[in-house]
Amino acid sequence: MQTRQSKKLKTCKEAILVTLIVTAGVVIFALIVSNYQVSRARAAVLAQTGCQPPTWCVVSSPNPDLVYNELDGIAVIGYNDAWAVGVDGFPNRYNRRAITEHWDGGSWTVISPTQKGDGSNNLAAVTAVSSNSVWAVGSYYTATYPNNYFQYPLIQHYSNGSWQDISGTISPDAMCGGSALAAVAALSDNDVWAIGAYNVGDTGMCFPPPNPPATNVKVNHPYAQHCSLQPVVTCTLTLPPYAGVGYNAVNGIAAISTTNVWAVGSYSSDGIPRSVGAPRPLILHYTGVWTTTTSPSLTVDSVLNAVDYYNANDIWAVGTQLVSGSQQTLVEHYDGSIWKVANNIPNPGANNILRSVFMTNERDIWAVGQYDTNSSTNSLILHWHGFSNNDINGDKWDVITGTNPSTYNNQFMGVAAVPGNSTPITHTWAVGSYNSGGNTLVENIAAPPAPISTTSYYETSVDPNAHYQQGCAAAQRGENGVVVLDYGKPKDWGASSSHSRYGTLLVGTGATAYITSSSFSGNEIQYSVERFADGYANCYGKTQTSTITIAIGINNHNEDGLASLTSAHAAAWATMTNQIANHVVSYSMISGMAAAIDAEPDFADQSSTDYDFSKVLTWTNAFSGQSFESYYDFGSTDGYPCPRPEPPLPPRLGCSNWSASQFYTLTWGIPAARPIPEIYKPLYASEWYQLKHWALDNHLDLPRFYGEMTECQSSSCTPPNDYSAEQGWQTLWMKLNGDPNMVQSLIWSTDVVCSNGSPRQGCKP
Amino acid sequence: MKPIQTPSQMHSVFVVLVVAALLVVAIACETPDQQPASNFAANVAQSPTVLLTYAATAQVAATVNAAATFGAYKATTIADEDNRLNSLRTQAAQTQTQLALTPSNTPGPPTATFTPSPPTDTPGPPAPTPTLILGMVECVPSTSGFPYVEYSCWRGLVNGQIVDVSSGRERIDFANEDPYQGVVFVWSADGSYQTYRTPTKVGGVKISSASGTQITLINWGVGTTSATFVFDLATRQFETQSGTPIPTTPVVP
Repeated sequence: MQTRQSKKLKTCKEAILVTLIVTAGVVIFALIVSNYQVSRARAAVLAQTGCQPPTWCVVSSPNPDLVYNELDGIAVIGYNDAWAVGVDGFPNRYNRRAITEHWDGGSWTVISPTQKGDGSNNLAAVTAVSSNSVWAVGSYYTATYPNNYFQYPLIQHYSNGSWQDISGTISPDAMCGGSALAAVAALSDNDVWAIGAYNVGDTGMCFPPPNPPATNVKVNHPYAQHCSLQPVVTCTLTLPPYAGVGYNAVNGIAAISTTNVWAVGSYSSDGIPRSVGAPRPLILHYTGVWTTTTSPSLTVDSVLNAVDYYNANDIWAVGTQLVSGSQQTLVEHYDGSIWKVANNIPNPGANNILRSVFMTNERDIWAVGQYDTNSSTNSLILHWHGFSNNDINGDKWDVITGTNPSTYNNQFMGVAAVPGNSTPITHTWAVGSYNSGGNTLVENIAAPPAPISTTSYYETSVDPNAHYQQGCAAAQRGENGVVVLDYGKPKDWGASSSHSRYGTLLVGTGATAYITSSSFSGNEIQYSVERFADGYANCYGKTQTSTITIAIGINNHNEDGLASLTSAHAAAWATMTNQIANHVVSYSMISGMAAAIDAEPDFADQSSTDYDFSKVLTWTNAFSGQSFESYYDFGSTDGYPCPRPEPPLPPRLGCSNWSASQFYTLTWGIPAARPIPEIYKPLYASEWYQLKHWALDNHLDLPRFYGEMTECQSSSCTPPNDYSAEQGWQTLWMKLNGDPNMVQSLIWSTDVVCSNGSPRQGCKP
Repeated sequence: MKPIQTPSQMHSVFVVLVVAALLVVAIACETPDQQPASNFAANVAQSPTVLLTYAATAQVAATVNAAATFGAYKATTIADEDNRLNSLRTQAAQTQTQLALTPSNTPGPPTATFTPSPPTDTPGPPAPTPTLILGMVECVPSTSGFPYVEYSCWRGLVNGQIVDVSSGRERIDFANEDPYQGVVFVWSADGSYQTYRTPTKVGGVKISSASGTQITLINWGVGTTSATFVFDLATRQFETQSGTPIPTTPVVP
């Protein structure tokens, strides 16, 4: 007689069989019906697979004119908000149009301003104060007395969905025959600088009077407009000094503060009035008044086209210079005291020109332009991977591969990412033209969507029920990757018959947590971690495919000297981890079990001569050769921009207490090590990037990061001081994959929270 | 009936068929995906109860409301706590901390005195009453997002209230980072804290002693120069060696 249970099983088997047959039929049917669409989709994917980091990829952009389109400047506000400006139409004074294109996160669309005057308009540069306040500058022509087309400065402002001409009537050369704005920078809507040059004209009757006085000359003079949007648009004309007696041009501007603005360009240096010959770099500095700053001595035919900054003591300008008859890239750096010319900047071909430069909040530097080969002009992208003001020369610059859509005449005119610290950088953009100016060219390097992050925990108790719920929640969220359970400060309480000798003080609560004890079935780390694993396994869906690695961690909090970072503690921890690995061996959805440490030099006992490095090393060394997976380092570098000089030299105040080689040892040097560094803000990504660079330069292996950790949900989670998991992941991805030597995938992303739900940094109840 | 013409139509048919098939399976099998809650509850119930205890000297408080939290309490057994207590007592004695904290301008509770006892490796008998540790205490580890490092931690009574005080410096690489800047932070019972910067930047500071409502801090850590500060917990002001208050305002988070 069949039991009720066996009947049910038979019915169940039959149902599964029927389901499989039906599903197979449906799948075959679907494949046939959708064959055409699948083919199309595959084609689109193939088009993208040819463009992998660090190569920049073409992003489709509109071409408003049938014949001639170019983009000359770009400003980025966010991952779904950017503006590019330029001009279309055949180059002349009569019928060119200023164009602006907007990126909304999915595509570029034309949202151009109304053209001004009855002649050509163009926009050369753009900057953004916010999504609702974008400034673009250039020039326009109008047919007025004396019956010729004269050029005037053009200022357009975007707000509330449209562009408004706010040029007003300001022009330094209303009677003289030409002025144009070439660059713009904004500190706020009430502190905007637009700069360019005006032509002092043929008649000598110009306003304001040229300096030096011009008599029947026609020569460019620098001029700037300092604008304020509120309460009404007001622009004040200022005149930077005139250099030499010939032609002056101003091409780029960077505003660091109200009284610290830099502008670059060129001036004729041959001493011949009205001459355009022998251009040399022109550097202007505004500190309340404009002055000319001495540029390093260069051969003639040197021009600066753009300038950008990281801070007041780290400013970069780029352009081109003639060296031994060859046009080469020009990079200059200001360190707070003097400008220096960088040596041996890469020149991939002939006629190398850099036209734009951008510095990110992670201190990446991107410079773009063009170079020639025998048969074509190619877009040029340079990336800087230095870190200090001493790293300005060519060995710190890499040539990045761009996509040249045309077999001839591709060029970049502008490069930008999100400025400042308020928004993580997910895209870096370059704009220009290809096909001899026939088409707009837009390329970028963009971080892909971050993987779904796991939730890691600062465990504030060893409540097995709470652990079970954590594991269950992880399964229900479909979490995939590494989950770190941080149990705090390692402790050794000495021998005891009632409890384990080893354990931890838990983060936030200071509660004691014992590693394991045969006499305890609860109130201990091992049992709680096992309950976490049970929770994940029991709540795991039948169709689920995710897997997690559980990393059981401590930190090296030893500022008060009372932590127990000992080999015995590590051995006990390894034993515990092995036992937990045995417990979960039947759980296929748990792919690994590992130890973990939040290793941070700032946590060190200050009375320790090596700042606890050897203690941390002792603890971590215990995990090489274990049968379980390894150990994860989810620490920070705490000042890596200036790591400790290699011991026995002492560290410096304000710098990291561990040296580069010590960091390397903990991060990659120990075979078991797997880094998932904390990326709480842009600087962290930059520091880990630098460490990886050090590792590449000093070791033959290929160090990589497995993922990253954020602490968003245990803090206010507001950039730039606290990234979300996705922001941290994308920031590290961009930092690594923008560099051709550092390209790697990032597998995991995890965000650590306080298990007691405390929103405080520190998990205090 | 129109044939399927678009991928979306095909997907709809596919989804309907698969859902129907899954329903058949689900009805036939009736197998729960998850462990029954009752089984789990039974498992958990086998665990010994976590005893939330506080260590306190009898003179301070005979009992402490278990609902109150002061940021450094622990969940463990009483016997276990005694071992840790003894160890901490030894440390506290070594710091020669004076624990006669009474409020400066109001009558306070009896002076708390502290008698260290030697550490022991074997658990003693269960303590008759919970005891509260006063004096230098072990610092509770924070998260790595906590913007300060804590070199030393201290607990005492000020105006009859239990006060937790930590000292250290600002962390490197944080928003207002200045590792030259020493800090004192005073914890509230709700887990919040107020931070006070040392009058001069000499690096991190460590609590060296406490007397009355005043704690004395000395500089501690990399590259620092010798310096001593006095912080009055009653007024929340730094003072000069002669007792003159130095205007001190808490750091705005």
